[in-house]
Amino acid sequence: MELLAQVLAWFGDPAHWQGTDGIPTRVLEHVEASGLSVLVAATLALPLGLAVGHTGRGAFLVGSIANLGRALPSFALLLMLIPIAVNLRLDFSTWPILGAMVLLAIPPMLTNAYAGIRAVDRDLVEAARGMGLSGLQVLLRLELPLATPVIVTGARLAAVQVVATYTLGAVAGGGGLGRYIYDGFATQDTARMVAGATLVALLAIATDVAFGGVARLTAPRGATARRSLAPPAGEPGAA
Amino acid sequence: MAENTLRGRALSATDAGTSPRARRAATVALEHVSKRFGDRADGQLAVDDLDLFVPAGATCVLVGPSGCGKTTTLRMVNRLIEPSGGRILIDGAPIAGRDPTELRRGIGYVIQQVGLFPHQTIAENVEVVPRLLGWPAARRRERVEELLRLVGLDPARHLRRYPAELSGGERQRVGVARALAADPPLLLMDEPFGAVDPIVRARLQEELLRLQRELGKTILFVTHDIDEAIRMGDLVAVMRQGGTLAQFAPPAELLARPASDFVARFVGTDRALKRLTLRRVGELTPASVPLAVAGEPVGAGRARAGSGAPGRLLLVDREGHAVGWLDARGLPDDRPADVAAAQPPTPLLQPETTLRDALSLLLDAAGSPGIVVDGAGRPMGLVTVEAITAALQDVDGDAGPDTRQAPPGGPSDPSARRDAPGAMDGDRGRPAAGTPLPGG
Repeated sequence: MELLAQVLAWFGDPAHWQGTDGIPTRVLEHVEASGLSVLVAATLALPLGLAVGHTGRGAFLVGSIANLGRALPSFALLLMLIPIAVNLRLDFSTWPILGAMVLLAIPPMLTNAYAGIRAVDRDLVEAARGMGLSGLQVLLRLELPLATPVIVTGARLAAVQVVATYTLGAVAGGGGLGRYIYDGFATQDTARMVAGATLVALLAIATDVAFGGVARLTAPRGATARRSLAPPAGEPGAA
Repeated sequence: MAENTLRGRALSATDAGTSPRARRAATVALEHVSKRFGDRADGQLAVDDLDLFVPAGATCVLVGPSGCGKTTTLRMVNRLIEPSGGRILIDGAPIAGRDPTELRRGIGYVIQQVGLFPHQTIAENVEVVPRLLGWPAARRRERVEELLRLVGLDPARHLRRYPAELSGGERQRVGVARALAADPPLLLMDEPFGAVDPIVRARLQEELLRLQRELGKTILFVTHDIDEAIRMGDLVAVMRQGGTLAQFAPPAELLARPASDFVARFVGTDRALKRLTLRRVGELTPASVPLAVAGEPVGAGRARAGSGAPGRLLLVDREGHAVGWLDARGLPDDRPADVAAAQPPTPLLQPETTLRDALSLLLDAAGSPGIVVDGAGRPMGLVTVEAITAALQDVDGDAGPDTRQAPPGGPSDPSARRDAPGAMDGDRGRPAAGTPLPGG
């Protein structure tokens, strides 16, 4: 109870709401870095996932990347990337964590893009080809719209994971909400640490809710498409 | 082929060539077509040296057991599958050199699962090919409404709905409308009615026949159901495992003279009954029937019947509608014919009743002759079980030795078979006046 009072007091302190270490600044840093990581990962993972799903070739590649990505902890990646950044004379408080976050976000988006396309009824694809749609037209007019719910689910998973994990950036001296946790731990300021963890949790939930909205907006119309193709929220497509 | 002429669904190749509507139908020729799956030369042979010629405006049904290569054959025509050998020609031109997507846009394609795009409205689904062909929006819109009406759907109700909101039968109609959208000269239908219940299937079959009478397209139709093949086809190609052609003939010939034991088994032991489904009561010459007019003296009816002095008179009312059988034996000539004394006028047959249904009704009525009535219920004459069996014998009798019949076990002379369709007569390919469908 005492801790709760301390945490509330921490949030109530106007000093914590301004300046470079203030809550708005840290939230913004966290959102910017997470968003950038997910975007970069999406530009790499989605075209590959769509291409493999459409052609049916390279499924092994998708599986390998996904498994490797899941097996490597982000913290280990971060620690591996720091010396590389130092060697390349890059800012090691910024780039290693971004790299780790991109690698974290790729597997769910890649596997869901692939699985979403593969889940489109082969008879539909066959009918579309039989009518004279080209391969690209089949992908853009049929497979992509129908796979959208699964693809959005992949992005949702990736974004929530990145938001939660970007906290690690503070270890390397980066910004974001991890700073409160790391600095609170270093200075034995439990209230600050708990407040930071609470903010990360809230931001992750907000991200999930936001992507839920995106999923609703982008779901294809027509009842069966929605019923048969969208897996329950939060469940990735089969790898 | 008397049986086909009577059936009124046969066609002649020359006919099809001269009718303006039928010019939108294409001929399809398969020459020594084979398909081997797998890369190696000893891969599994799905289609083996197949020769077929389908004249413009004809419905050719490919039928056979699972694994006979019928669907593979169909999909080679729109190049969803590439043949391993031989060539396929549409309107005399080989399709091998054509761009597959461009080729397919000129061929309607209907599959069992329909394959409507679930995220698009019915209107968007039907206009897929016109959109690919770059038709302006106004023309597409007009065409979609026209097509929905053509397949018996109300545009106002269905245009904006999604496939999931439709019944199976409605979806299949939309599938047909979509295949017809750009007015292709050739339709490929792969078990199009395989996934709907028997009642809906019968109705869809009937409507496709009606549509086909209007449109006169060339149709390649795949089914495993021999009854559907006989019902839908002008020509039936029976295929057997290994992708060989067992027989290629009009349905009546297939039933009357199966070329091999395999075909005989495949069409079934009830093939005589199946042949009856190809013929209708109206094709028979009904025997005359002695009539008595209600209220008139019985003697007048007897006089009309002439020397036969039959025991029963068919009683008609003053408008000429059949109202019942009157047992005239023992009735004095001057007794007015009385409706109350008459037996029900059964069984009643319409000219469009199939002989199979007619036979069933007659058997039900313990051999009593059937009364053929016109649309207004006026009697045209009597049909007996004997007349129906005689109709079958007729055809067997006058057909004579048949040179067109494919030899058992896969014929190898395409020219012999090519003659078959041309040798038939009939009015198929001549469209009903004022059919819709503007230029494609």
